Amino acid sequence: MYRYFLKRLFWLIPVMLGVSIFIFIIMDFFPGDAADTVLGEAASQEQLEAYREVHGLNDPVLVRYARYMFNLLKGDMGISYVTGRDVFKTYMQRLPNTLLLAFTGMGLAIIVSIPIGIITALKRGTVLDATLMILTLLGLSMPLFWLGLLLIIGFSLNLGWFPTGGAGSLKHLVLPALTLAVAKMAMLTRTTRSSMLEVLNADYIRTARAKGVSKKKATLKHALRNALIPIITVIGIELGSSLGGSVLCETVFSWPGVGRLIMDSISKRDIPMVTGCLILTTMIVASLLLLVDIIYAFVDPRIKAQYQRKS
Amino acid sequence: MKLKKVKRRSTFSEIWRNYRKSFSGMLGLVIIVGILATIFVGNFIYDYDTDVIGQNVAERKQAPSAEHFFGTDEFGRDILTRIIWGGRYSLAIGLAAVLMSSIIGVIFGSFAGYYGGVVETIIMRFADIFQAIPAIMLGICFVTAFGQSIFMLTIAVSIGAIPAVTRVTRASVMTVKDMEYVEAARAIGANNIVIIFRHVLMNAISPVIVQATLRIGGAIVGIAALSFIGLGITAPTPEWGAMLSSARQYLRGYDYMALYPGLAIMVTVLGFNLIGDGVRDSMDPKLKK
Amino acid sequence: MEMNELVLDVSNLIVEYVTSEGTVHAVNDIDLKILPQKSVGMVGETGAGKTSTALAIMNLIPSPPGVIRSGKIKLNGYDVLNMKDSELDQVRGSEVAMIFQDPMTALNPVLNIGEQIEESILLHEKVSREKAHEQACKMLEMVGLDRSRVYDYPHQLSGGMKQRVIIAIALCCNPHLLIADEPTTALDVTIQAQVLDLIANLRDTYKTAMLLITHDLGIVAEMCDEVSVMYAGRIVEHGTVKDVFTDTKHPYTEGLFNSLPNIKDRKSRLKPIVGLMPDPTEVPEGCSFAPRCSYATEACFKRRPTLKAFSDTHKASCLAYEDPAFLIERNKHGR
Repeated sequence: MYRYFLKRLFWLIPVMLGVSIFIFIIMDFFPGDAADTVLGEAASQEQLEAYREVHGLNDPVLVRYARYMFNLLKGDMGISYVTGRDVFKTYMQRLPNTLLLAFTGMGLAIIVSIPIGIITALKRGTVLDATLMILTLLGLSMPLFWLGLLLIIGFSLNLGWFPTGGAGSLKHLVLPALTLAVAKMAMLTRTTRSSMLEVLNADYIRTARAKGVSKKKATLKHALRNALIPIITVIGIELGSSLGGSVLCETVFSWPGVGRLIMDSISKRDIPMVTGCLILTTMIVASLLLLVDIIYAFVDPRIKAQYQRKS
Repeated sequence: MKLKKVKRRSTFSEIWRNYRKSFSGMLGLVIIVGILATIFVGNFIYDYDTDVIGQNVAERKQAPSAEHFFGTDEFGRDILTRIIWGGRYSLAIGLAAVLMSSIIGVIFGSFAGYYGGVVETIIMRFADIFQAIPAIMLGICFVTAFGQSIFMLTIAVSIGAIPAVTRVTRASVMTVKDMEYVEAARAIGANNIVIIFRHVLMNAISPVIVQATLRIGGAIVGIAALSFIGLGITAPTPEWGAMLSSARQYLRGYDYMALYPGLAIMVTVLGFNLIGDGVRDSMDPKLKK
Repeated sequence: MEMNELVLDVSNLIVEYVTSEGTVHAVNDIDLKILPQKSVGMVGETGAGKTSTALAIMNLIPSPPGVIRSGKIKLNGYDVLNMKDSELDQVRGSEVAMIFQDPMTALNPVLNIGEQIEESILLHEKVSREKAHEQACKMLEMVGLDRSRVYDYPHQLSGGMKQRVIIAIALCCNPHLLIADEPTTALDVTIQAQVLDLIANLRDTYKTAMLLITHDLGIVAEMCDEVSVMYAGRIVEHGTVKDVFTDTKHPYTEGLFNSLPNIKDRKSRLKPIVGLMPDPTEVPEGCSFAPRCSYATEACFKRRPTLKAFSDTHKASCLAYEDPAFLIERNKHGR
């Protein structure tokens, strides 16, 4: 099993390497550089050039990349052009906020979607099923940022229950988490439903019933355990996309997370910050997906065996 | 033994016949055709400078009324007009992006699946790299680096999906390559490369097509999202996401400004999702909901 | 239980499947009676209604779209069709057990085989977990598998081994009736014989009655005491193996025998029965087999035959026998 884990970890490294190269190169195309940002608009050409020489900004791409990676390995991702603070530390300060939002939203979605998905699968073809299919379809079609605005209009401005933005208390968390949750709920309910439907038709369910297993037990013990396997993958992917796509939700609710950080940094041309944020976010999302893969391997004995045999 | 030539119905009419049976598919088609028709007609009714971006201070911020069905915005412009005009951006870029990602993805995926070996490894590693970076961030990077032209925006929206399409196509091609009916086709003497090619491609492509139709909605939301955060189409152009962005300042008291553009997005995406459902039901008879 | 009390008593069973394309008449009024420790074979082509009969006996017909329109099924005295599901759960697995056709998909992939056998034991017998585990290991040995495999997962076993596990699950609670639905059809020919032997041995050891569903007449001859021949949802002939094999009455049964390749006569062509089984969504007026029957007369298309007794044990439904001198080809040559 550990072989599998290590194998996947080793795969992660070249990918991250590729990612860092890509990000670094694309950053080169960003308008402005350190000299522009630090010295400001008033600086003269000579001052800008001098700055660039001193800080090695005119060196070829590979040299700069190598320098960056070397520092990265030391844990140094540079300092922000704008605030002068350490990139890594700033990111780490904001990360918990994004994680809180993503996990809360996902958690809510899971709690609601899985039972509903199971129920609609069992009651397939009924009015309840049809209603829920329509609702989830509407949920899937709704843009997340619009939903956020609607919730603000409804619950914040009209009812005054929650603040319109920012963070700091549980009240601040409700609307953003709800927004995220609803988007995920639609997708997750459908996934659960179709996974359950597929499993409920399987032969081994019939075998279980022929053994005398009650309908309820056959559904919960036999069917659900099998149905959950693909659902776990979907949850992992959605969680990854919540972390990566937190930009939208955080913008709508002025939530002080990593997504807002990236947007602010981009508008301020804070290149080290943007580079650092992108690399770190990608690393986190990739690690999360790796974790999901491993959980998947544990839960599905067929995959587990596949990798056990290989080692 | 001579084979009688039997009149074959083309696959397209076969698929269309199945599609017609799908309620959601037809409903979606109605919605989208309706939207397209509205945008088309709107193009001739409205004039860009006067109706769409022309400011009319006297009529600012009016709530929905008989004269202005969706109200007016902070510059006095009729929101309904702007929504109808603005639809072209979301639809055009959304559809173009899906087309782009599908074509590029299919090309790369077919190469990877068919040739295998080094070619496959290189292509799939690149796919891994681009898939590791969250899609929105890829889009944001591209736009910031290369500008907000329509072309760039299309690339930015499409880029997130290319790795996934590549993966699916590769898997499809690899499966179909070895399938028995390809061998069977050869066995009955169908040594016509085109027939085999057609068998392989037709079957490998169908999941891609199904997924592509389901991705259109996401692409439309994608361009709206980029505009919403200021990195897509910007004011005064009435792209739906951009309209939502400007509406943020006026949520208190003028909530209709945020309601209608978002509703437009939702209905359009809903239409495409329904079409996607219809396409899936009609192309894959094995997949019963 | 008295020796004469039937293990299985099915009468007037009608099973339909209501679909959007029409109602499928799967089982059209059949009777079936099995005495304790006897084995009855049910023969017929695919789609004749055999599996539906088996599922109906356990009241496991998938309920949309399947419907048991009428019938009475008594299993060891239990009135199966009128019992609540929770009561039936006790009967399934302990009084009657079933072996399904495809071993590859019949086992739950995420549970190991020990657990799957134990589950059956724990459901019907009041024993501890450890005892159940021990019994499961014993069952594995009884079906010819090493007990060390008790923690293996289904995907680690071959098709034949999986089928053995399924047999172990079926017999672990010592049911009075074993329903085997084409237990060897999906297996390699070499494994088939082994599995059939296993079933036969265990059946004798446990003194279980058996309903063996198959399309293979050879298997019936080997394993069964009586045979029911099914066509288009009806039983067209029923008798002891001797009756049906040596004194075949129904033209369809004759057709089945004729379509077997004859190793002594390698030169002549195979003689399949011409045509196909009728569309199950349409029930014809007369005899369902008439369109394919070489003895059919006009009356056969209009009037449906009923089962007529030729002896205590043998009956068949064919209008041709209204003429007492009628003999089918097979019997004319005094085989």
